[in-house]
Amino acid sequence: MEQLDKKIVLGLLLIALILPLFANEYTLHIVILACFYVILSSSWNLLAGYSGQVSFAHLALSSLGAYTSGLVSLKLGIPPVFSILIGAIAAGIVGIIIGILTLRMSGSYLALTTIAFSEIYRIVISLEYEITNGQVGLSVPGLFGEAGSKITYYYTAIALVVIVVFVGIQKLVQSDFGLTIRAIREDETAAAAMGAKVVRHKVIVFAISSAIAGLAGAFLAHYTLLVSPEMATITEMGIVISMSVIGGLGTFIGPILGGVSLELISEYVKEFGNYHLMIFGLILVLVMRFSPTGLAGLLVSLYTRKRKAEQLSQIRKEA
Amino acid sequence: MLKVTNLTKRFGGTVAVNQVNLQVNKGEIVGIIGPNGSGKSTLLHTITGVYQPDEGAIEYRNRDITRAPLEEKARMGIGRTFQNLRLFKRLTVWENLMIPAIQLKKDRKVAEEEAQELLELVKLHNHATEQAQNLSIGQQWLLEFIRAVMLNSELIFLDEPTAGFHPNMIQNFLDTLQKLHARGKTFVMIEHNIPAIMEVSTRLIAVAAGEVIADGDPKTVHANPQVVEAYLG
Repeated sequence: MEQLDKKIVLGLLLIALILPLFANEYTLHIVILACFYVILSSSWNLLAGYSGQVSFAHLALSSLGAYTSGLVSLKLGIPPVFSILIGAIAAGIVGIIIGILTLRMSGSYLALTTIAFSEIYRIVISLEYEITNGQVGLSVPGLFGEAGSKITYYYTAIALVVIVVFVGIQKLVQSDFGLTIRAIREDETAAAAMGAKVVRHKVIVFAISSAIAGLAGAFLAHYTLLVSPEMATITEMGIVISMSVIGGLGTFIGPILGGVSLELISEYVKEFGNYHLMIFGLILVLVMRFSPTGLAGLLVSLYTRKRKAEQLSQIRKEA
Repeated sequence: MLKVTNLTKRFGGTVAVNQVNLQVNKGEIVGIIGPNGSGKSTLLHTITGVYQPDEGAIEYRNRDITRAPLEEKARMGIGRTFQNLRLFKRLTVWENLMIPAIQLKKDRKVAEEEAQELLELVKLHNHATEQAQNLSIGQQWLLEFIRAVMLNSELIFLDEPTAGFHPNMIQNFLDTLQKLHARGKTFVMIEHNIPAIMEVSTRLIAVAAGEVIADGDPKTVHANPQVVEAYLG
């Protein structure tokens, strides 16, 4: 499994490295969007897949990071490279607050409360014209200026963010802290009976995952040069959940597979308007029916089958 | 070691544990028996912190732990198993054993040696890398048992342990229990299997309708007419 993960990651890194050499501006734009979704689905996977907390507030927190960064750079003149970090921190702090308020809840109660937060947040920023410019959205400065001419810079920056986030999440999951959150996912009472501070662990994961979502949102804002309430819709949240689940929830490589594949598919099907969500739904149903562990699980089973066949043929040869 | 005074737990109008007084001394194996619904498991949950008591006091090593939550009691050295297995099913056997060690910030090498020794004691050493959910029920129970030991627990509560075992494996479990007892562990064991509990316990407590109706030498308690009456109705 780890061997396969390494192969996939190395392959993707290689593609990422050579991509700017032959890809045009449009392709790089799609890849940047895919990277945005990979970051979001990786952080949602940390929350739901590894710690078992299903939150629907992830996109609202991403949007909060975007608005914070946008406003800080606009009103205070702080360069976007720093305001993006401030946006991430703001999302992390709000994540801690939501975490403290909700994490004694679990399952459907947590899900419903985070939906309520998400919707209240979206309505507030949509109706607030003085600060957020309402439905029209907020024009914000670019990280490297206009995207068109500097798209390779944006691509390189988000690729680096993906690598840092991805490696960071993996290190976290494989650490003692990560083992404890996986135990909490399996059984909170048993984890507490083993001395685990359940609420503290859950709040920390919620905060980290929210900060990463905020980072992604802030980056996107300074790439598209616009922040609007659109980012915080439940539909967008559904897309990120689909990416995580289709890729393989609680797996190392799942969010990358889900994020990249669904973003690419959405480019092909976007001419169908909102019907593309139906196509996502259909893919989700098919994946759940035929590979409940997602694309990552499917790849692992194909890889294991291939390895077994190779070992069998080796044994036959030796015999 | 443990002193419970006037412990009461109610659920709505039902009094599940009613003014229970009991004491557990270091080095004992205390058996708790009683008919179904007599409040044995609720008593255990209330002492270990799964439930908060409505009245009464719990002292552990002369320290008031009445309101301490489950994880704090665990960190003090009160371990427990559950009537319905509560393993971390998708974690490996080894990872299950490392969870308590991590919470106590045990030295990694010491924890690994301890885990290896316990796995050998219960003959699960060849299953260390398997997911816990792939073990047989008896093996899962043994894992839950040694996971509680990994917590450096001096006092371990066992909730109907033999219910998970094939009859042939019960003796193995009792032998393991006695080996750990010989190393200084103290056990409180809720059990329906009377021959098993009579074999290992040094003291027996009988519970009926949420109250302690007898407490003392196992043979005396077992023969107590009130206990016989509670069982036979």
